[in-house]
Amino acid sequence: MITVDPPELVSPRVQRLLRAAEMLGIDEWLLTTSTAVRTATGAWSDAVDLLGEWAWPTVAVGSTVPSPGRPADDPALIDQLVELLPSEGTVAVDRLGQLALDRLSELRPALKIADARVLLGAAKGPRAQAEIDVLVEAHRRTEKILASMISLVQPGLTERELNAEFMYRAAQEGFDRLHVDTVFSALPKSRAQAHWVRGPWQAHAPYRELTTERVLAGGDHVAFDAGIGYLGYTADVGTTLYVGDAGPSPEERALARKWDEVAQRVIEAARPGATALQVRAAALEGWDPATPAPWPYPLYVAHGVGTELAEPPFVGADFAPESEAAMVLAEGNVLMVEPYVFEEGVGGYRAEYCVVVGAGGADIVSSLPYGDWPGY
Amino acid sequence: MKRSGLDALLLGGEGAGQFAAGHSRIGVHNPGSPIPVTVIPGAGPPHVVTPDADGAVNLPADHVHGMIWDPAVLITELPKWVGGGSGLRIGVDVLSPGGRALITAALPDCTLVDATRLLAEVMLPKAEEEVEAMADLCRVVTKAAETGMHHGRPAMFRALEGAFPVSYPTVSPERVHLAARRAGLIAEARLGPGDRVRGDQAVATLVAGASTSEIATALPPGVEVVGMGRSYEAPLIRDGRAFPAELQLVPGAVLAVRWDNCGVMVTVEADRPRLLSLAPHEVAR
Repeated sequence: MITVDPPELVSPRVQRLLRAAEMLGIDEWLLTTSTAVRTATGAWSDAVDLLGEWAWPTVAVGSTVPSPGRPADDPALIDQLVELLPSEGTVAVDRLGQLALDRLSELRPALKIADARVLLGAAKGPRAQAEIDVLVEAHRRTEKILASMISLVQPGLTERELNAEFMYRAAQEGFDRLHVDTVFSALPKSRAQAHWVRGPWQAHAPYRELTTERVLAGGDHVAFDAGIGYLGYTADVGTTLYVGDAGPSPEERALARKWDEVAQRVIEAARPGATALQVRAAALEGWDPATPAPWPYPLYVAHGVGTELAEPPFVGADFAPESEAAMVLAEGNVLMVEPYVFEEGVGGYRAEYCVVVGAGGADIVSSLPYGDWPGY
Repeated sequence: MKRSGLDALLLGGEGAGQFAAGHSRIGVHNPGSPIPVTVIPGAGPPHVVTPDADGAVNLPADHVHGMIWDPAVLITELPKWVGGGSGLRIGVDVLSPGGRALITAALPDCTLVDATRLLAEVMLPKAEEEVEAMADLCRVVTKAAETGMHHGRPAMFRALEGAFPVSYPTVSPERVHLAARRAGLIAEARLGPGDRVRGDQAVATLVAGASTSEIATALPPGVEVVGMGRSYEAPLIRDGRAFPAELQLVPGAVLAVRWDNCGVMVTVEADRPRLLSLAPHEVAR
């Protein structure tokens, strides 16, 4: 069944999209991924197969959301949609198979094809207050679920059992749009425990995020990271949970504080007009260059969140300095600030502040005690 | 690949990539604009681009690459992973225009060839242990669906035992539609009102040797069939049409059969289809 998001959320997105299309010289768009379709039209389908969106994709051509029932690599998809497309000009496409693309060129030889990511990226801001409010609400409601889980993290449970319990509690709160297989992963205490750290990972702090059947032991640091969909926007909530009754040692408390110092530097630097490159520099200020950067490889120290779980600006990812310098923070950006720090023999710590970039700087909207050990 | 005259495969689809390279990575819904993240060269092990090195310990260290956020990085890396050469024929699946442009920027004189049929053929038969793992997951998902029907949505999620939902579940006292992934494989349950006779008729068409086009013609109206494995995958048969057409069913294929508000899972065996789920008369409520 196709459902449409509230107009106060869809309308500003559509207006931005139209402005961006005009600016980029794009006449129409053909979208086959649900995030792009929902961003552009507000429409989403509960029939979509979420892992790959192959068999039951949602499709948008401009503001029309047909139900062709064909995969994005089936040329018959184009046959069904072609009448909705202009005969010339430029159409932005997010994904198609080679045969479908060939069929499009055959039926619309004068139509140029552009990558829709550029269009969708240009249409992300400036964000309306209603959209920011939804992002903050999603974050706080997800934090509430996390808070209810803290006392459950005990020795003997498996990572997968915690994952199942989180799904149950999320559903109790009315959240069942899990964008991510929720992370409950015991972090290594030493490099020797991290046998998977090879190749390019060797130069970075050991980290993991695959939830497994691993049984938790007292003293484990369990990385938690959840992504939940809410009214077409996403919440990203993460922290590190201590396992057992002993409680964190002074070294472990210092580890959490060290994480907070990095996070606070990032937040202080996250102002309208600042570049991702400048925010990266703030994260590394005073950081021993002989040690791995304080975020997990191959991720980032901060990223935007909106209709996608991770969207620009990206701080600390693999972009060249000039590309990072071109990513400029703007008022209305909602950022997840998520360093990772690791001490050999002590372990790892990662959490996420959610901040909203306002005219005077970034405001933390998170409510849990990040930079500390929840429950202790 | 040799039969298709391909020098390499560049895959953006997660399921196909995991099939070809045997790695696992964190499950994330909602694909963005795909770029190639799995590279199958003509010789040697695959290359994978992943956030999760712990999910790729089966591959040599120099074939496991950190997730790439800046597509420009791929332009410098792809030629090395493909193994060099000129005039290459590169097989691709579903990609973004940007992903396609990136490949041609990295390998300027290559020819991009649709690989969806090749992938459909090689991914269709599942190993015996994969079929049994999917049957076991089907039992879990069906039990969760029954729980949802009687006790509501939260109880259903708990009954999934941590399996990751790969659909938006439909949950009411009359019908439940649910799909989930565990250990890299998916299963689904669909319980609800439906005509059990059409279900039986549809299952009977799924025999080894039958082509997808023949099945498309033989299926009762309103029935659809889709492959299952690491995600929903080929073939897709609905409305009298199959994609890909003329793909021959082989033993080990696992298929979901959906009609009305119910559905079953079936594996194709040498002499007959075998249900991995409840039977049509049990799922039609």
